[in-house]
Amino acid sequence: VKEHRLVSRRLVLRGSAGLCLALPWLESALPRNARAQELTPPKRLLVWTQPNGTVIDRWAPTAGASETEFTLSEILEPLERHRADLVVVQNLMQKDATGHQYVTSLTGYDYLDLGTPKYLSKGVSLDQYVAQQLAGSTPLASLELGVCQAEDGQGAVSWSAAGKSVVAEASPFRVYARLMGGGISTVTDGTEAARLLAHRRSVIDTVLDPLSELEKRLGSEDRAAIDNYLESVRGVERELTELQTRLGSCVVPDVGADPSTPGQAPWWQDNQNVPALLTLQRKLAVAALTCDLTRVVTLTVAGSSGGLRTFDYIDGVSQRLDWHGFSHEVEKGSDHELTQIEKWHAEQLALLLDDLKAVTEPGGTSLLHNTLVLSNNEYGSNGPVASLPVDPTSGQPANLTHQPQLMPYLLFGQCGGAIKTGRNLVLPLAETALERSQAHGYSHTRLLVSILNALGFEDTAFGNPAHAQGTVPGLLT
Amino acid sequence: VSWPGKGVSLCVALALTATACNTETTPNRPLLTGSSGSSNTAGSANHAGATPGPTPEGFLPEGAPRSAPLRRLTRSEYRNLVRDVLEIDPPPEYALPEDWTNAGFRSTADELTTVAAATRYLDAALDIGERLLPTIHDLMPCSASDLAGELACIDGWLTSFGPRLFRRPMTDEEHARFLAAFEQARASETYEQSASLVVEAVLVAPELLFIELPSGGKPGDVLPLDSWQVAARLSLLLWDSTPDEALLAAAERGELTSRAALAKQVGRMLEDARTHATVRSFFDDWLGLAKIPGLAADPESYPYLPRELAAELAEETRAYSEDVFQQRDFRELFVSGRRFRSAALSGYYGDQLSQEEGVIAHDAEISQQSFGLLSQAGFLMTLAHAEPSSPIHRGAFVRRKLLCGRLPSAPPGVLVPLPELTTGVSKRQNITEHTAGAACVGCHGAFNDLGFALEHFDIAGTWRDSQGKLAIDTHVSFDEPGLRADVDGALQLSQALANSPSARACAVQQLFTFALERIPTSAEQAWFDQLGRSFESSGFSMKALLTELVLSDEFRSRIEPGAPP
Repeated sequence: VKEHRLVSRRLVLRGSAGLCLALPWLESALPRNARAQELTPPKRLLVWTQPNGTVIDRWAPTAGASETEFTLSEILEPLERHRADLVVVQNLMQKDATGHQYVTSLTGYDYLDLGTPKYLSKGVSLDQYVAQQLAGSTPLASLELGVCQAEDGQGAVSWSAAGKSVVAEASPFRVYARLMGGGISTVTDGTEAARLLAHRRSVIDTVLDPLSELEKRLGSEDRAAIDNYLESVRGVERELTELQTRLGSCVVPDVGADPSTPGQAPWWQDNQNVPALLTLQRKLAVAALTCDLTRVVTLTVAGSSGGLRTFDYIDGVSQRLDWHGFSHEVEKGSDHELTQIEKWHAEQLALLLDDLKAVTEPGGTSLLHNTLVLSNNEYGSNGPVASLPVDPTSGQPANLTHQPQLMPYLLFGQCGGAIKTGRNLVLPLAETALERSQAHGYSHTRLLVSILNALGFEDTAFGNPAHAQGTVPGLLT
Repeated sequence: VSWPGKGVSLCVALALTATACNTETTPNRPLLTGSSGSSNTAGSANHAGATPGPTPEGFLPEGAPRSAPLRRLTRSEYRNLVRDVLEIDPPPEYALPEDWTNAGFRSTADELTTVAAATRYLDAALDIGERLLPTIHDLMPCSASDLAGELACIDGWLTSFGPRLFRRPMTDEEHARFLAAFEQARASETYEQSASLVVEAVLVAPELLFIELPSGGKPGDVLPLDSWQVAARLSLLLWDSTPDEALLAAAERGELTSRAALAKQVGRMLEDARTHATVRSFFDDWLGLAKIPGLAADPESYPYLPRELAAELAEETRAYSEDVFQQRDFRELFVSGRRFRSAALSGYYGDQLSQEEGVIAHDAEISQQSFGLLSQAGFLMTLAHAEPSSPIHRGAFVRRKLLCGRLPSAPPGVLVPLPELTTGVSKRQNITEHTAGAACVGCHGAFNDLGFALEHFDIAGTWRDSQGKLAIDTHVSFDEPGLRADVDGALQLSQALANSPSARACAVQQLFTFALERIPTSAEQAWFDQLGRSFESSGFSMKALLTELVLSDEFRSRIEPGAPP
């Protein structure tokens, strides 16, 4: 891998996510809960999501005699050291998807098209649903992280409700400041920190002043917009209060100062800083989970279609085309670049898993053991898929570029023991020859339901009720 | 959603020729040569015998007009307010919550505020407060020596700055709220810190962030705006900022509910340089021009396209469309001899028009290669993607954005096995075969042809005689109430668009939506027709049309949101 440009000394991470001294969830859980919970760390959900689909023939592991015997493929080879914590889920299909599949992927619905950049969801997304169920357990209900340009207007991954997207924060410096209570927890002078905290609170209080006359003048629909703003400000206040109590005992790695130059495009929106940015967001994600600042993190590695992301930091990938362009090259018979891009991202995912595994929680399990990591993709495969039976009408293999079939899902971690890992699940395809050749499989909403069940929720359906729901057979222990 | 039917027998094929227009075209003179004969009423020739009306049948969506949604300030409105009122550098755009769109234009309408967004407002305000500290005495001077005196200073500041910040005088309750915050802070902080806290509190107040519109009636009620609200709406629309002193003075006198007084202000404001950015933002959003500066052309296939040129290509189309808006005939958006060129752009187009560094207006002959929006390289590149050319994207753009056609999304769950691409045939043939299936042609039939007419322009927006060794066929015809033409190539298509009642109605709809922040519907057909007629009688002046819109009763009122009972 080429040397990363622009990784300034200031950005070298001080401290490590693994250094948390005490675990706040334990303290807060003890007074109210029974002893049985003493050593049971909470379950966490971490969604890693990347765009454009993969090259399925270079992604799918080679199946062995049983689901535990499999050989990782070229793209997934960097994840070999995590194979014991891995479940490969093959052949699921996003039934409702018609492009802009980020919107579909965690909601299980098709989208409402109001024209670029308004592709709206028709339901809540999995991560936000879980966050809503867990609201109040942690200072932040959820954390949405982006890298470089997290969204390019083609649709978001996280939706708090139908039509209400949750924008990922692409600046690690802003994420850090948020986790540090508006940066106050970074101030070492105690008196000054106390003044800043009181100052910040006073500004918030003016918004929440119950005397505000504005709402009285408004009709119900307008009032809802104002109420939503007030509720969000209340959320800021709640975060601030709870973070003050949590952060005393836990270390969030310092990301340093934002090197952006005023008046210019921010440093964290510069494509060539992606490797450094991904590292920073990864460390912050792991710290937020370790310190129990939140139990739900969604890390959007790139926005839908990858924006205009090019790769001067991946060996063997020229800057001739961007990510989206290279994914279309596959249908022209050239899958080398997309394979290298996919492999690089598998390496990055492996680093995230290393970090999660390095954190030991009370009771001796690792953070990874108590987390469910979903590696999600916008699309399935690209180009003709040689491993599928040929299309009986054309006699050719199906061209599945940017299609919803053959979703390349990976799960990592045991989710507190709910999932038995080290397996390669090859789910059945449809029965008719035409549908098989087009790789029609089970609805991916089954996976969403299984994840909810693994996290301890009893839901039996998620997303569009028109699809047979159920779970991924054999996934949970 | 259905397309205007094709069964109408009144088919007047516009035998348009590529006649070069006089480059000195002024708004009221004939622009195009065509069988319709008359310039300003080219569309009406097609409706001989029918009730003359500028709006094609079925053009407006059915239903009652939707109310303009309550919204927050956009990023640029917030930044301009900080710059204009507090006279300090505004926070960078990214420090504020994202803008989205409302009916195609940048807006915060219908966007929920999240905790992360509220955190941005708070952080931006606290940052401004901190930067104001060293000069806070210039903004909020005070020589008092006791708390009562300091409170009087702050109270005076709220009185004098309130109208610009809240776009109306602050209420007693608001005064009390900010004074209480000052007093509380002053117990432990300095005067400067406490005074900046007041600024910060004002900057996160919902009264500042939300644009207050009259409300409280029954859903569907039409509620008039008061003079302050008219001032706010006008200033946010034309200047992207809070009202200035003169406008506030007119608002204070209660004048702005009268059309005549309003007209005086509108005339003054439209002449101000601040409207340039607004006009450009209108075209940026309508035509997607903001994408041009970031274009990533494929350097292997197009080594002659230097990346540095992207900014000038953007300026070309932005300056061209602004010129059309300010002083020309709307139809010249499609066809004119005006070219905006720098030396670098002239080099790219190979036309020798300019040796200058800056992008400025030149006049030249209209030609097949160069004639208006649809021949401008930067604009064409926004619809190119990484393909040899993209007639589908181009055609869909013309249909949706220039003709305001409503295309449904692809039906969910439909998975069509696409035929293999035949090699050795033109892009047109490829796409025609590829989208011939019953599931595709319903939508693609509405826009493929519009894109095929542009096929002589390659991915980089430059002219090509052929696609490699393959001949290019740009002959297409349209037989719709709003567009009847038999054309060969991009210039003739542009001439047909300039003559198209749909394209004109579309311009009215776009400007209507931009100004009123809502889409016109069939219930407003009569007024919409009226707007179309005055657009025509003004010589298709977009500036006159915008004036007409902001002087309307509709601009000075709001429909109470919510479904009517």
